[in-house]
Amino acid sequence: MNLKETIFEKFKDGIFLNTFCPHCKKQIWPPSNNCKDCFNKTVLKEIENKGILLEMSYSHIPKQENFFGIGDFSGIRILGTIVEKNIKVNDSITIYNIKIIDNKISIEFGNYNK
Amino acid sequence: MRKTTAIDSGNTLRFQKVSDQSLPELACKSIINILKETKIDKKEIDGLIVSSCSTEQYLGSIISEMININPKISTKIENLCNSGTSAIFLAHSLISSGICNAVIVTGIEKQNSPGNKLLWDITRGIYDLPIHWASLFAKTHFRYYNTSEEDLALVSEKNHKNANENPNALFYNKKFSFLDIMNSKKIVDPLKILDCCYPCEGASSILLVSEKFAKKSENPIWIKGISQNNQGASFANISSDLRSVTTTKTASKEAFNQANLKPSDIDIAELHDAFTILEIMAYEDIGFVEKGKGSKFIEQDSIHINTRGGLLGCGHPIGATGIAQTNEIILQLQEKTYNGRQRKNCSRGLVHNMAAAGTSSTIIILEK
Ligand SMILES: [Zn+2]
Repeated sequence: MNLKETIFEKFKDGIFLNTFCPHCKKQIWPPSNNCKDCFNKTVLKEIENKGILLEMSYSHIPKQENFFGIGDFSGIRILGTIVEKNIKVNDSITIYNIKIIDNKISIEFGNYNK
Repeated sequence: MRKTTAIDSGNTLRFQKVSDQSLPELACKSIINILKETKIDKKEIDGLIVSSCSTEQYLGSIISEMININPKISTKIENLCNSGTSAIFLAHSLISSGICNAVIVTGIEKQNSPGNKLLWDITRGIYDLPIHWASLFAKTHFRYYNTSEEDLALVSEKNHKNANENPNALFYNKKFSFLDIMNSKKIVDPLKILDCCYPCEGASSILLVSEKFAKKSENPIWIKGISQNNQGASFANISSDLRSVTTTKTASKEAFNQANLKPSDIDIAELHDAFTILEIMAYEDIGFVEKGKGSKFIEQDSIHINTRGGLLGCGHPIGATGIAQTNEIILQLQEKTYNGRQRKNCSRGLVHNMAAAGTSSTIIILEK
């Protein structure tokens, strides 16, 4: 399995793994076998599931009629589905569901604690 | 000393939704139109760069054989929506370094191009269409600068109106009023279907020449500045501040430095309006107007913007777009447009082309 396949496999268990550089002590996102700065080998590490909502919008696309937004989880920025109605930009958010749909990362987040 | 590059002439075929023509056939049709008109001898063409997101093999050499040229270099460039000006950048480099004297750049694309979506970018999650990132840029602009859906509609109205003067535009015969645009179908808030460009088929070609060869050109247009900036590929990772497109700001600064000019020196510009919000952001990021004042710039008339109709009015055949944009500026500076879209007294123009949520942008400054 390559790196992406390994990470996607873990999503099935609800775990969001990303690559981390032990030398620079930072997340390397999107995942990569080597740190993009020091080029040392990265290790897999679970990401923080608490973050901030940077921006949001509403999709009217059929089968995707919902709020979505861009979340920042300690430097890992990713688009996901917003499952809370009373939410605004800069609110704290928590990832509460992750899965793979059509070989894409599908995450759901809201502004409440699980 | 680094030499400058001139553009001898260009050609753009009428953009359409689909046809039964192959990519090499489209390219040849457009290139032949140039070769019939130019004073540059076909035997002197020593470079052919194809711009396309197609995965078809060996297009450069196939097209070279079909028009019977034997260039020093014949290759293909793919840089998503920014392919066309990337190919022009390469042609300029070949000429200004003295390797080539006459390079044809041809942009070709079919409507179902793989370039319509970037599959690698996992940071987009399931929201992986271009309209998703464009809507988030728009939301941020609305929130910070009070830009409105009406402002976006004004951009669409202007560019579609310009397309009605351009027989090569996909929407040449389609008229859209402000209300048609405002009432068009919502896709992703705040963007409606008429805020979005339409992927289509097209071909556009251009002939770049050295200073020496430019003496044979009837009406050469000079590249005064050309710059590209690349920040990466993933939307969510690269775009930490959705108020601006960093690559456009960086490429503009460098291109204006090269040309020793400033934004107010530009008379006419082609901006990458794949979505209406992107034109407003381009006004600001290029420096035509200060950050946050983009919506006030839509109805100004000091700089002519997107006179061919932009991507909104012309359609967006990905690999051909940057070349068609450049050709519009060439035609305007040469005073060769027709159907009433010729703008008067233009001596300097600018081209802005970008890709994948603004993760790369190119700026070209041209002068007659
Ligand atoms: Zn490191």
